[in-house]
Amino acid sequence: MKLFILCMGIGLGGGIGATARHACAWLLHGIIGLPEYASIMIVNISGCFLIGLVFFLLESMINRTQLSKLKKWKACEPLIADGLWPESDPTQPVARDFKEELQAQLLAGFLITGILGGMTTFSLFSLLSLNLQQNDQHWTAMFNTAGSVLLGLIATYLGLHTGRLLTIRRRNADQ
Amino acid sequence: MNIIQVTLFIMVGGAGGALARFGVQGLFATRTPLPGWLAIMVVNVTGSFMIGLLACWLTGEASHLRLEHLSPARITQDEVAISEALGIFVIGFCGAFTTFSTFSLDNFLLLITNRGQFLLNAVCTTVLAYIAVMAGWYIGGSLLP
Repeated sequence: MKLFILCMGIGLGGGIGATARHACAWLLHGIIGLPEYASIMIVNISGCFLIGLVFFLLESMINRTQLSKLKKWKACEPLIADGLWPESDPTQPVARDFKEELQAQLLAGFLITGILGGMTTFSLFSLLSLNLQQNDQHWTAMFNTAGSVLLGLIATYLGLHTGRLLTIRRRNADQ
Repeated sequence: MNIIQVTLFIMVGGAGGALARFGVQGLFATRTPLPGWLAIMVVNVTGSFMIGLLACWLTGEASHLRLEHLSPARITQDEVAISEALGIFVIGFCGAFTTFSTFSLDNFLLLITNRGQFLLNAVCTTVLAYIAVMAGWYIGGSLLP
């Protein structure tokens, strides 16, 4: 039952994400007139920013049983020291409750695995790189490949950073 | 194809792709001791192979060859419409099956924990996916009559 609900969430998210990608690509390529690879690149990079933001907010809100990988990030240390990370507060119960755990998994499955996973794509990115290469646009293909990976990483970092700032701001507003 | 049909095909493909990726991730997590980023790498490389193969069959020169192979009377409007619908479905499915955002997030998390694995993930996924899409394209072309 739990798996079924989770699958419904992921399927719905994947459908929405893929439609959003196609709509954005159509808007950027068909209406504005950007080259096809650039429209997919923009969609991928904005998806990277959003995954950073959503991942940080989810990780810092949900009290997980396992250790969060983000705790190894140096920028998170002040947050952990201030007790802003749920795991660092022993008075807060871990999400052991069925409903609470399901909500957390469903939210992560719907937003990250579903919408953002469906919106960003690796296959179209590789296919468009191949098309550029076949049309003898070697430098553009190189720029597409290296640029997407690097800019995606930077966008993820910026997304995580934005999530961190939002968490700090929420804390300041609470006080 | 009108906008409702396109949306429907994209949505069904996207839902299937996202679920298939979730399935592969689950298999890796429960049946193997391998890390999660490897599952994403496998998904991205196989998805790239699939899209290379299918793009060759549905849109490339090979598809014109396939259509030219038939006598003009047999190229019906339906056949063109089916080809178009399949193309949209493939964009939905392969596009949602593979993911760039999780790849990028994994890159960041590996960068702060294990630099060697970060380089391995970033370089191998990009290079292998490119080789896979190329292999898919040429294998697809060679399989056609």
